[in-house]
Amino acid sequence: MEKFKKDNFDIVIKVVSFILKWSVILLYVVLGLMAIAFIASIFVPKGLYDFDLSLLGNINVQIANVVYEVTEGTFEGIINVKSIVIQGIITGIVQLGILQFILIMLKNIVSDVKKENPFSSENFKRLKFIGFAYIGAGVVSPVFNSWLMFRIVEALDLFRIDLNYSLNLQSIFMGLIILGLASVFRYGASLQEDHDLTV
Amino acid sequence: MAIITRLDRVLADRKMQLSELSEKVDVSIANLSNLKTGKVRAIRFSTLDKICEVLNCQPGDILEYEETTE
Repeated sequence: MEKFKKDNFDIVIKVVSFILKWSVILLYVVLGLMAIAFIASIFVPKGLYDFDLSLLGNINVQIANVVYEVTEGTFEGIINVKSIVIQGIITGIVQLGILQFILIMLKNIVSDVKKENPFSSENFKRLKFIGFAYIGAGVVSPVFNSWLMFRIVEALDLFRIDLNYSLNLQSIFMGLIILGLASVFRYGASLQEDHDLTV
Repeated sequence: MAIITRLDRVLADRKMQLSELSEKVDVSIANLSNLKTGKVRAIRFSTLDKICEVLNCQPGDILEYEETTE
């Protein structure tokens, strides 16, 4: 078995802890700004959201790594984007909220690892929550994305559209893997308890 | 638990404090205290070996089986 290098491990944990700490703080700031933007967008008069589509230049739209160019003059008229802006902010808050939850759980796990207590029942629960968050994101996130895209395309009146919903299988698969890892942690926690209760 | 420890009795016979035993066997007082009060789940052979060596006793003097009704 490869020898465990505690010094290297401590450095890795310190770096990860630092990155997670600042990511959580940064995301709190972004979420705060989005909350302010959400409240502000509700109170801004609807008339200020009128958008003249003829102002749009060439737009590059990327769908599945293929870039489509929508030429200038394709869209005409004035649309009101208030509801789209509000929906965009809600979508952002929900998705970043899930990400923030996962980051906080990870930060707490790393914090426990720093205290040399990685295999605790608390960490098993945190990993389990992360797994469920990924599965939840795999179900909820496409709903918000499809809803937002539907509203944008509908507002542009570009072509007839149907709302197509599909689960984010990648995220769900990731969640299932993390749940599997959580059960390994549970076994680790029971071994740790045995170890702690042995003199 | 059916296995009970008699460490306190052996220590009293040897007129030895737990702290002194802790120093001699290189096991923390907290762990020895847990052993004395039966709060542990297992004891290593190495720990038992050291305790028996220091207290000059047999494992049976420290550990005792007591039948319990379930």
